[in-house]
Amino acid sequence: MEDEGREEMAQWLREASRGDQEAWRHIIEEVSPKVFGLLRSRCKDPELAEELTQSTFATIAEKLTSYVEQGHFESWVFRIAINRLRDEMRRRGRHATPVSHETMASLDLAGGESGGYRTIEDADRRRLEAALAGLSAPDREIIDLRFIAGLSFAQIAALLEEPIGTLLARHHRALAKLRVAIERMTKGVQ
Amino acid sequence: MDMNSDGSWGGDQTGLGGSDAGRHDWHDRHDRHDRHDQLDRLLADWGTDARGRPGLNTRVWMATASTIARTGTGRSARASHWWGAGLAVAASIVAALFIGVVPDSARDGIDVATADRIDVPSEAVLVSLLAGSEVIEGDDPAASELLAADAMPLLRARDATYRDIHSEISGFLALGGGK
Repeated sequence: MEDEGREEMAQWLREASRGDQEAWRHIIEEVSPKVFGLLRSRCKDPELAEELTQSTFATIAEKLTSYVEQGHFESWVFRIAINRLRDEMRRRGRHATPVSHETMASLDLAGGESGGYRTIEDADRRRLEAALAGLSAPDREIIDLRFIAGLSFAQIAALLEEPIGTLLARHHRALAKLRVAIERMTKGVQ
Repeated sequence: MDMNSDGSWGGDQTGLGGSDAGRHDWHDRHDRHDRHDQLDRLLADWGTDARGRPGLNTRVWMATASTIARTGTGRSARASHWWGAGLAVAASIVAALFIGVVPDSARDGIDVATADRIDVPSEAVLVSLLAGSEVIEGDDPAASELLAADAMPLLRARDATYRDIHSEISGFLALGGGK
């Protein structure tokens, strides 16, 4: 989030903590799609992802008066969301780990009955998601946080409590793996 | 114009010298750059799709708006008690005056509510409840502390007839020391 965006968010947070519904709506519009996208990429269930998104924002709303904005609002939101998902997965006795290439290729991450938006071709999507499924959990996590949640490396570092250098290296490695996997699929290599 | 060894026309386009190896390296780097851009674009579009869910923002807002509204009023919770008590008194006076002009046929059993002034504290609370205000509590002498459990029968009485309301009011006033 650029400086101007951060200032705007800080202003909305101040106003929302005083009960300003319009400011709260702006915050939701800015952040809830990212939270939903991140959760959905992890649990593959749009209904559950929305339920956890609402739960996350309910918690945010309750704690807003005690929150002091220091430029880490989105990191705070995502931490709550990820914890919610972890708790839910634990409760359901499932593990949020990457699934097989074949399973991923058969899933429709966006669109379909959920009515999501489509901006890429189905074939590209399937190749990309199959490639993503082959990443390790840490590599996949940084891709999700970067491209779905839209977090900067600094925000990701704050969220994951890891050095930025480590994250940059992991990101670079993950992209390289994706590139190789997609090229292989494009060329029909098993 | 001669064709270069890499198939391009014109002179050295790489600026790296005239060797084939130099020009191959240049193209290789640009190819990698292009593929990098393509992957970035693909991932960016994939992220946009992942975030899409029609109506999401509205549903999240509907689920949380009341909390924000309470957050705003909660910041002045102590002041709101006084405000609420003042409103209760005002509502009481208005309600009592209104009830005071109810036609004779409806007056049976509601003598207690026809007074044009409030001199029993619990009466202010009761009439306020009839007027639709919340459970009143506070230190203001014009209000009375009312337990939620006691308020419920009175709140339900708002849907009852005047005769029913009167019996409930009488019972409550008896508790409060009124007639």
